[in-house]
Order: sequence, then structure tokens, then C-alpha cells
Amino acid sequence: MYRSFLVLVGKARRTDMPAVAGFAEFVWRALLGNARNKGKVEGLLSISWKACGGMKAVRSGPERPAQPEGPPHNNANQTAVPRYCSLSIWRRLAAPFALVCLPCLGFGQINAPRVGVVRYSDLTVRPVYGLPASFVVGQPLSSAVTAASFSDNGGILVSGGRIRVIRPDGSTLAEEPGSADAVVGIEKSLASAIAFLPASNTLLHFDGKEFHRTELSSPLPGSVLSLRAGAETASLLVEHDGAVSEIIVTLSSGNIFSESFLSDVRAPAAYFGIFIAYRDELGLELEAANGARQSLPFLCTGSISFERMASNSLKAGCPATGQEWALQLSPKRLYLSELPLPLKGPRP
Amino acid sequence: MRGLFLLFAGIVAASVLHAADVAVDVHDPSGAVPDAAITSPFQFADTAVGGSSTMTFRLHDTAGYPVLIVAAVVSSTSDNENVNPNFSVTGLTFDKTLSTSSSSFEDVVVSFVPLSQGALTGYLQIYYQVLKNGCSSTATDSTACASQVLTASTLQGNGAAPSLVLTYPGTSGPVLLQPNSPSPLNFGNVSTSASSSITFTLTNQTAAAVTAPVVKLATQQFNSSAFALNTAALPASIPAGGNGSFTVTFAPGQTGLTTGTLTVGPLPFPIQGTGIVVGDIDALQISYVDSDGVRILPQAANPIPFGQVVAGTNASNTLNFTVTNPGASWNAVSLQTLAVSGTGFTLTSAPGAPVSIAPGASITFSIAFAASAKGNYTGSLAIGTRIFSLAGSSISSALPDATLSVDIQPLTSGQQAHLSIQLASASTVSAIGQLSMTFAPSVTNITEDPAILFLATNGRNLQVNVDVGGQSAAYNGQPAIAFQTGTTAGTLTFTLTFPNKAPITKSFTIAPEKISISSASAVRQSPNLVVTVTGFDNTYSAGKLSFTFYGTNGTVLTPTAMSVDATAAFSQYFATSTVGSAFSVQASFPANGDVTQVGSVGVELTNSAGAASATETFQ
Repeated sequence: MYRSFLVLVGKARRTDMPAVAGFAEFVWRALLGNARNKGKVEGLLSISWKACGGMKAVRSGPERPAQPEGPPHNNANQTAVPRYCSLSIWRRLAAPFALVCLPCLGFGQINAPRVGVVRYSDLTVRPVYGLPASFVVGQPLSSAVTAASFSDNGGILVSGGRIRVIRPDGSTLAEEPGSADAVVGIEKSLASAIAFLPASNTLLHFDGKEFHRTELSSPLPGSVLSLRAGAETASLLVEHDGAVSEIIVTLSSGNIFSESFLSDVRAPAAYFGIFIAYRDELGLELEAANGARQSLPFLCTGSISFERMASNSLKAGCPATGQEWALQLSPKRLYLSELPLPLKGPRP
Repeated sequence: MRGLFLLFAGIVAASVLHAADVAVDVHDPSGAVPDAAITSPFQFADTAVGGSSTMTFRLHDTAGYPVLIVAAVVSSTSDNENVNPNFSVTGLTFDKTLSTSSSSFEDVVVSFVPLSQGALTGYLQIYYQVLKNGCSSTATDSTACASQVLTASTLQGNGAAPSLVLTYPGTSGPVLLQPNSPSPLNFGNVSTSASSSITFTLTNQTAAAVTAPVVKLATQQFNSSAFALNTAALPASIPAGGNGSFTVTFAPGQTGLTTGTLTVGPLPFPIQGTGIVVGDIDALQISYVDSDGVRILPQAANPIPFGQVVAGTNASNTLNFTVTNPGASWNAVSLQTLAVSGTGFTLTSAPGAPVSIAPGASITFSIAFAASAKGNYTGSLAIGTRIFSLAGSSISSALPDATLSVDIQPLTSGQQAHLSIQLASASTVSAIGQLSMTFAPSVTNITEDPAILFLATNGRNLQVNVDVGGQSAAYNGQPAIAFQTGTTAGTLTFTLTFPNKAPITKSFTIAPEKISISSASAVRQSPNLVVTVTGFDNTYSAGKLSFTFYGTNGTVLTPTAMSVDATAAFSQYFATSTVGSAFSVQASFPANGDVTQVGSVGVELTNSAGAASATETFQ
């Protein structure tokens, strides 16, 4: 596994994008630092595999079994079903391994790439298709959404004070009363959808079928910036007096399991795969658990905002200018591209 | 002044002289001489005909109430309101109200401009109202303040021999032209197809050079005169005993009497001429409608004005003409010619010549003026023998010229670039422009790419602004305007348009290229090996896909370089794609045995521009 990343070092081809040529090496170093945590390594790989948004799910995250992804946006019936070759060919191939036949490729296996789902400043939630730096914004899936987080398998959003888990096509899978100031997060599968309700100090965790409420056993020391659910725990990035800590909460009991001060991380910050994204004087930072860090130039006056738009994509917003940016991870490259605004006319 | 004076025409008879209400002093603007009460008579200095002498008179309120000075005139007699042409009054403030304060005054300047030699007399009259007892200066009923007139003085002066005399050629030698003559100089009866010119001579009768006076024509018709003045031959200074000349041409475009006034310095010389019908064509009534919708009767003496257009723009000014043969005509008029000449002028919607216009009938046509280069343009309209000159001008916009540039060259597909609009210099005006982007794919059967857009508007149009003092145009304050190049080969063209400014366009070619692979993945899903490639093909010609599998030890597995022709699949996908040529293709390979022995896969995708490859390690 590690060799593969070594091979990728320096292979970023296109330099016209705000990409990081040495990103593969950066990821590799991040993986070395996380080698003892196999779950996190697999989590990263899952993200990279899902770079072809809308394609067949290939592997679960580190903590939960994978959920089937929704149908591709432009061909709901496409599946990568092999077309097997004749038995005679099969028998001629050598053991212990042999490729059986030519690849099975049909129209159904070519799709429009789906970058993710973006919540815009007009509070609509819209799918974004295309490739880095070549986006096409789709029609709204939902409106009046005050917070949202999306993976390739769906998303969790806050609308009208209610928490909804939606499928990739925007249809609602589950809904639960919440609060307008809820903080939501999702990693990969819909079973990782989670919300924090500040007023009640409660976690609202979706298990794939229904929500479960867990009131924290003690108040948090600050405001929640971002969160994600594991198999048995939830991780929360909490800001207090300008400092950011990571607090691990046991989902079953609501007990705070641990609290770690993240010295480099500044608010606002967000979980992004095995990374935490935040901004400092160098620009956007992606920091792995071992401290490996990658910086991207990012110009925005005033505060910024983060929201997950896909398993491998994070939206960074600049409220001062109304601009939205997509930060996309792939195994070889890191892309930062500006998103088209959904509406014609001046930015707000 | 005459109109104001007539307004109070009825005042004189009813007025009572109240010398105590307004005092008139002789005032020296230089302050060298103290003010003194005006005397009557008041003597002006002897002044040559054509020259002038001025005096300043200061009016004070002596009524004990505010006094509204309505008018000050010099009349021909003491008991009427007729303005004396040998005097003029200037400087009076409209509706000036004097207070009783000693510092309140109004100065008027009286000029003695003798039109003839000898003793000349006028009467300085002050029309005023005393604002007392609650009366109103604006009321027309019984509350109105009484209007009164003061004849302040009898003005006298002697007209001396003029420095310059104006003559014109007569049948028996030069004829001296008298100013302000009750008998206008007559240019006579002139066919509307012809013209008549008179060359006037100004002769200096003194022993010193004299500055040539300003010569002007005043006509009674708005925007069109049958008289034209040419002073090109008139020198700036006429030497002692010498002369200068200028020409007035009467070229009627309409029948009937036309009057005007030739002014030489302060001296007015009435002139007149009459357009007549000699041939049938002369009876044609020619008119046009200007840009304000006003119907104008053009005269042949002066160009028909087409106004201004902005150089380089496609804008044009068009006048719509009507030519009518009056119903009173006996004969139809056959026009052998209906033509326009001159750069920038175009005749449109015209009937083909020859054309006959019956009595009572009309023809219409239009003339458009457009000029791509700055300058003045002249042309000619020929309606048979009726000739009219045309004039228009092309000007530069106050907005400096702009240039478009992008921050990435050459542009290729799959980029986000920024367009900047730079001005040649700091703008002295603010402006709002429209920036648009068009795309012409070079790929057969592909007409659009929705990913080509301005990020700020998610469209291909936006509005840019130029501020005063700015050297660039910006969108929402941002001088770098971000856009996407999409995923289709072709030509991207930006067009910037400002009002009254030639559009600016700049095109960029996005060349066909090999398939661009933005990401790829290889996954073992026993018993399958699944390879996914995401990218774009800006030629829309993706066909052959080739896969080579390698063992974990790097050896090539058999079968080697498996190829599949995916042309049909890609064609079908591209035909329905709503994201340009961006694609994500997944190939699944059934495998027999332990798939963990497969280490990596090399993928090669081929389109019309060549082959692109990537190698992915199985996860």
C-alpha cells in the first residue's frame, strides 16, 4: 500500500490548477504517521476511490460497513455488472490468478462525475457535477437549509429546525426534530450522519435506519465547529477562547472519553477525512493526526466557513465576497477550485 | 429684453413719475471717480458708427420700501417703450429687489452703439415696483404692486464716421450697406435648385489697422437656414485703407420668403431672399424627421446635420426623408437621380430612380450615417437637381480604450482562469459595460459546453463597472473575473461593450488535446478488478481503452494490454451529457484466482489527439 503512494510521488501532471504537486507524497507521509491506525488509512483510501462521484461503492470506511451509494445522477440504472466470457476462455487461463475476459464496458458505466452537493448562501442545496475547475451546478435538491454535510452516499441537513438525512437524489430518508443551530456531519455512509444540538447538549446519531439521541454527560467547554461519528464514538472539534480541542464522546453513554488540545488548529475548522481543515496565515491548511500539513493559498477577507460537500470534497466559503471553493482530495492531487454561484447576477 | 419690455407695455400710460423712489448715479467701475447723480441730458462720448461707448449707472432704492427693478431700457422717445437701437442696456439682474440699505444697489451698463452718423438721442427708463402696504409683485389682481417707470435721463451721443464700411457689388459699382435698414438686402428670387451669393467687402477708412469685426448670420428658422456665411476670406485684421471680404449665399431648399440678419460687429444688416419654382422639380417639398421626431424643412445652403456617432461602433444615425409633389402641381415630377454620396452616408429604402412623383404623391427614403473612424464627414443628397449637403461627425468616447487579457496562456480545457479589463488610461468618467462570453466548439456535432461560464454569475454575461479615475473595469469590485474553460475544444470569445464605445472582442482557441485524467482508481472486488477513470475528452472522440495488469512483483500479467473499443459507449454518453465531455468510466474485470496478486494496472485512453495513460495501484 505504501509503495503505491511512493510511486505516485511527483506525478501530478497538470500545473494549471491550484493543486499540490507533492500531494501524493504528503498523503504518504500522513499515512506513515497513521500506520498504527489502520482504520484511518483505509478511510483515506476510501475517499480516493470515491473520487469518481456516483460510481459503484468499493469499500467501507474504517468504522462502519459501507452503505450502497445512490444511483448515478444521469443513469439511475447503471451498475457495473460483469459480462462473463465463455467457459472455454475461462479454462485456458492459468491459475492461481488469471483475468477472465475483456472488461465489461457499456454506456451504463460511463457517467457524469458528481463532485458533491453544495449548500449555497441562498440556503439552497444543489448538486455539483463535473471535474475540478470545470463545474456545472444542478437544480436545487432542497431549500431553506441552514446547515448541511454531504458524502457520496447522501447527506444530513438542517432545515426549519429539523434534522434530515437525505439520499443522493435529495429524497428524505429520515427526519427528526432538532434545532436551527444544529451542527451536522457525515463521513461516508449514511450511518455516519450525526448532529449536535447545542441547546440540549445532545448528539443526534443516525444508524442507517433511525435517529438516536444521546445527551452529553457534561457541558462542552465551547462551541462545536465540526463533528463526525465513529462506530462507538463521536469526535467533535470544539472552540473555546480561540483554541480548538478535539473531544471524543461515547455515543452510547454521552460520556466524554477524551479531550485533546490541537495546538496548530484555528477556528473555524472542520473534519475532512483523516485531516482537519482550517485557515491560518499561509492559507488553507490540511493537517493529519501526525501533524503532517499541507497549505494551499487562499484569499478571503474575514471569516470563512467549511461544509462537507462529498466524501472527498470540502466546501470553503468566503462570506465577504460570496465566493465558494471546492477542496477536492484525490490519491494523487489536491484541487482547490472556485465553485460557480447558482444564481445569475451580482454576488450578495 | 424686448419681450420683457412689451410685458410692461401698458405701464407707461398709467405710471406716475416718482423720482424719489429710485436714484440713478453715474458709476465708475474703476472707482477713480466718485458716484454722482445722473444728469439729464447725459452726454456719451462721440462714437464711430460700428463702435460703442459704455457707461455704468448705479440704481439705489430711495422709496423707503423695497423696490423691485423690473427693467431698464433706453427708448426712442420719452413717452413710449420702443427700444432705441443706438443704445443697449445690459447687466440688470432679473427681478432685482433693492432694499433701503445704502449698500443695496444694482448696476446697469448702457452702451451707445450708433448705427448712423450724427446726433442721436435716447431716454433711460427704469421700470420698477415699490413693495409696500402688503402688495404683491406677482399678483395680477388688486393686491398687485403698482408698476411705475422713471425716465432717469435723456441720453445723447454723436455717431461719428465709421472705421469700416460695408459694401457689396452693385450693377454700377460698390453699394454701401446701411445697418439696421428698414429695407433688407434682397438676394432676390432664387430657384430651389439654385443659389445666389453676395460677396461683401469691409473697407478700413482709417489710417490704422482695424481688427476685423465678428460677422454672424442670425436667421429666423430653427436648425436650418437658407443663408450660409463664409468668412474664410476675412482677415483677422484689416490694414489701414485695406479691405476684407466675406460671402453670404442664399440657397433655398424650400419655396417662399426667408429673412435673416447679417451682423457685422454690433451692426445689424437685414437680408432676405425668396425660393421660387422655376422647373417642376423645384416645387417638390422635401422634409425629414430628425432623431427627436421633429419634421425639418432642409435648406440647401446648409448641411443636413446627422449629429455624432461614436467612432468604431456599429451605431448609426438615420434620418427619414419625405419628398412630396404638392397637390397644386400641374405635372408629375420625374426624378432621374436619387442618390447619396460621401463616406459614411448610406441611402436606404429608396425607390429606384428614375421615379415619378405624381401631384399629391410622395416618396420616402432614409439616409444613415455611420463612421468607423473619428472625424468630420460630409456628403451630398441629390434629388434630381435639388442638391443638399450632408454632415456628420464621428467622435471618440470619453472612456479610454480597453484591452482584455487572461492570466493563463494558452487557455486549455479544464481550467479556471481570470479575465482582466485594462483601460489605456485613467478614466475621467464612470461607465457600466457588459461583458459576454461565447463559445464555438470545434468538435463536430457538439454545440455547447455548459461548464464554460463566469463563476460569479454561473452564466456568460455580467456587468462591469469603471469608476472615475479607475484604470480597469471590475465586476463587483473584483478586477479579475474568474471563468471556466469547460471541457470542449473550440474558440472562446469575450466581448466587452460600453455605451457609445466600439465593442472589444478577444478570442482564445482551446486546442484539442489528449484525454485528461483527473483521477483514477483500481479496486479489488473479488472476483472482480474494478478500474475507474475520471477525466474529460475535449475532442469527444474517446474510443480505445487499454488495460495492462501487473502483479505485485511488477510483472505483466496475461493477457497483456487488453483493449476495448468504447467508441459507441462514449458517443452515446457524450450525446446526452450535460457536463461537457467530463466523464467517469468504470471497467470491471472478472478474475479467476487470488486477486490480491494483482498489484497495479496501467490504463491508456485514446482519442483523436492521442493516447493518455495512468497507472494505478490496486487497493
